[in-house]
Amino acid sequence: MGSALRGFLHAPLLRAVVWAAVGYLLGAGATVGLAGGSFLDDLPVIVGYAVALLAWILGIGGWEAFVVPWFGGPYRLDEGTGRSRYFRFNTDHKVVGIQYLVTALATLLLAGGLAMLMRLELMHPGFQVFGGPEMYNQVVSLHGSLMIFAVAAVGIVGGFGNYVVPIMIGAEDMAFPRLNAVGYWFVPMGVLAFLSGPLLGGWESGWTAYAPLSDTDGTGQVAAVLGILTLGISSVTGGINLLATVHHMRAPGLDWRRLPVFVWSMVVTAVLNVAFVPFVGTAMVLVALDRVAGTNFFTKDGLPLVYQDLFWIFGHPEVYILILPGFGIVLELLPVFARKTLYGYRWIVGGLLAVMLMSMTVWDHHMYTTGISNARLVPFMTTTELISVPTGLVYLAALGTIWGGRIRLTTPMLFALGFLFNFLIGGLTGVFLADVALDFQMQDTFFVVAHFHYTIMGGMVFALMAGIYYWFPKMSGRMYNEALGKVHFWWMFLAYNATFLPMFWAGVLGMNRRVADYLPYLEPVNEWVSVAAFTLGASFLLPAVHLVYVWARGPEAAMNPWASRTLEWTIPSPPPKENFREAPAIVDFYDYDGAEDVELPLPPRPLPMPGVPVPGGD
Amino acid sequence: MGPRSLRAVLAAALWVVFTALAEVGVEALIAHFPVVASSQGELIDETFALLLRLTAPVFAFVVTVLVVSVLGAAQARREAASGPARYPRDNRYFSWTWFVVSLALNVYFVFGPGVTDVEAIVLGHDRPASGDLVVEAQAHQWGWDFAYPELGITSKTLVLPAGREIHFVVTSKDVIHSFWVPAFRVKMDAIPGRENHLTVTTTRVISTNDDMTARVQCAELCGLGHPNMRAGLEVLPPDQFQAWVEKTKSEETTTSGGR
Repeated sequence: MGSALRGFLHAPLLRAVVWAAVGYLLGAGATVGLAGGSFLDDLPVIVGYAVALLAWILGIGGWEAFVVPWFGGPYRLDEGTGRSRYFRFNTDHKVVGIQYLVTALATLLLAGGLAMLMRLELMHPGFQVFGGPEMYNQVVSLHGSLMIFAVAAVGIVGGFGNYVVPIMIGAEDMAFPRLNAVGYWFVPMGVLAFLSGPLLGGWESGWTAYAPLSDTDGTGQVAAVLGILTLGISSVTGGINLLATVHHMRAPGLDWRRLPVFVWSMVVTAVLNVAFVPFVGTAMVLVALDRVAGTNFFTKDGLPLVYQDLFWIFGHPEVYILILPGFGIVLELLPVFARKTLYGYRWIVGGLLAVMLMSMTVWDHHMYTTGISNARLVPFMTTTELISVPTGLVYLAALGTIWGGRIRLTTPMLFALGFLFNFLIGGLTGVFLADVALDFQMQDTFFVVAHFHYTIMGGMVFALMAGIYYWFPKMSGRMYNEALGKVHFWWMFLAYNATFLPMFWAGVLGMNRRVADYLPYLEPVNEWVSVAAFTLGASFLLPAVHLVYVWARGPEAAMNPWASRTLEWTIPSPPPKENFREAPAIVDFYDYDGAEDVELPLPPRPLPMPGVPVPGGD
Repeated sequence: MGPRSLRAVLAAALWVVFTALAEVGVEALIAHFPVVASSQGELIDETFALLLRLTAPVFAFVVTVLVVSVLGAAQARREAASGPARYPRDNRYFSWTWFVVSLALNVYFVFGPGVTDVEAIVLGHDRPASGDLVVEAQAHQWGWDFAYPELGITSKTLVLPAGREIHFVVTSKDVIHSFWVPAFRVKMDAIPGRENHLTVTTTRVISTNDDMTARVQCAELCGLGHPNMRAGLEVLPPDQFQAWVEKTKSEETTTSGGR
């Protein structure tokens, strides 16, 4: 009895929660004791959270992993077994990947639920749900912040970046496993920080937190600042780790010219994360200083526009951080399901690198209407229009690959093709918004809302879904139900387009964004969008139930149900801890010349793998 | 004709059909654009229409390849069954054509409509030209104040003469707002600590009472009152505008005289 209780108290997650709570009270209490004021003021919240974050990281396992061995103690980290591994400080990249993925998906459902509330409010003019704009603005801010920082930036990068990349390059783990393990545990705290916003009086400046509004609104703004900083730490450590991993841990023979395209996409994403997340960190720290120290960086006596420059110097590379991994997944899947050799590998890599470089040069297109110097307008319009050239190379490769291919419309392939359709609309409307004059009309309208949802949700989320169905048999060892997967795709695809396509028109008609109320003449389009959005929201419940069920009870999957040639499919499902028992044979991963036609998915244990030439020929 | 060239011919035909359909849709959209009440707005609508017309074939091309590839999968299977398939890793003519065409299109977008519009709408308009009617639009949480310094009057409603160059000086008392009139197709942020400039040439008589796109709307999230931070707009014939100015002047004199 006593030992059971002790075991429970020593369970790392519980210990982390207790330590964090105590840390928060100590930090906030000491601040209130020294500086006065209330527990819910900015400064006590910041100090309390900082101490809590440290205590949380130590409590979950940072103590055993870093502190004790640093001072010469024994390295005794219990990483757990079975399901408990996922609730612990665990250095296995596959566990970390699933931790990231599940956290991102849970946050996606939560923040999607917030979007449902927003659409309920916007179904009719006037105030129906929230009784006024205050709560609505908080919900908008929470939806945007969670979706960008805790879902879109984390789902593919943290999930598949950790799970798949090391296996794809024939490594046994990431280069810095402990850094990887600790990086994940910042994420739940970051999400919690955002969620605590409404309890602290909320914040209403949106995910962009433009100053000076963010200098003056409620203490909830501090929660957003802390959330962004916390998730930013995770992004930067993850980026460093990924670059080190791909650079140092590739299997012998796997040179850069053979690197899988998904790995390439993760490399360019990691570069952007490492280089540009610090800019938003800087902006957030300065906002916090404005609030607690009266520094006037961005107040009306300071330079409010400098905030926007700092934010978007980060913010535009950020949108490529969200979408580049999506390109990677889609290009990875197309040759597999078209049973056809990947078209234009060099164009792809060149395109990804060019997008990475050019994404650093386009940020002021968010600021055309701020009255910035005329000298900025044409240069930023030029770079912004031209970035669609390397982005277009992804389409060149995609279309070249599926053209004349023996396409198998499995669920992952449907999502990949859906991505190509959706992102096409997102990309083409970007051409419109890049135009300075057109932006004078479209900026801050629903045209922009529709545009970025087409890139992030129609793009990134569809790619995420493609990746989930594609790698599900590898991660779980079980097979999902194809019929349910296809129902999910068509439901989501149709509802998605029914929701977001009319939003462009709402913008043209004069619907501005981030409003809880609007003029009655805009009611018809909003009513339609709301009904479609509820249909879209409901489409997420099907895979949520389906995938959880088949993870536990689904039929056994084949080791390589897609007859794919990349390395993760040459090892058992789920893979053993060390991934590879012997050095993997490196082949041309996208060579389907002469590959026999097969019905996909393959049933379990097809012997031998049909239709694919024996590896090792090249 | 072999199956591969047949596929290309079919795709080309389908591309023509899809492009035609897309252009029909685009023209229907253009015909339903909301009313436009400034010459800048007419220019912006033209650019919008031009980009819609030029991107429609691009959209149709990608959709064509998606459709033909998916529908042609069974045929591709039969082709591959007749002999070991060899697939191109690159087709340099196709790839370079793609690259050059996409580059040319984007360069045209910038140096065609892009630069032309910037020159017409922005350049040279950072101070009032002679003959411009100057209106100071000041934003605050949550409302608009309009002042006409040359006429010595102020107003809560934005009243303008038709057929005149209006030079707005946009400022804010507190946080960032944005001055937007959908029917003019232009907006300019109101930023504390700085003056922003925007020139609008009114082209027609219009009123918020008749058309809701003729309104001043805050377009930048500015706090609780943001959604309803609006002001009415009246664009009047010049003589009626003059009458309004006189009437407002006399009222302001009366009110200040009465104090």
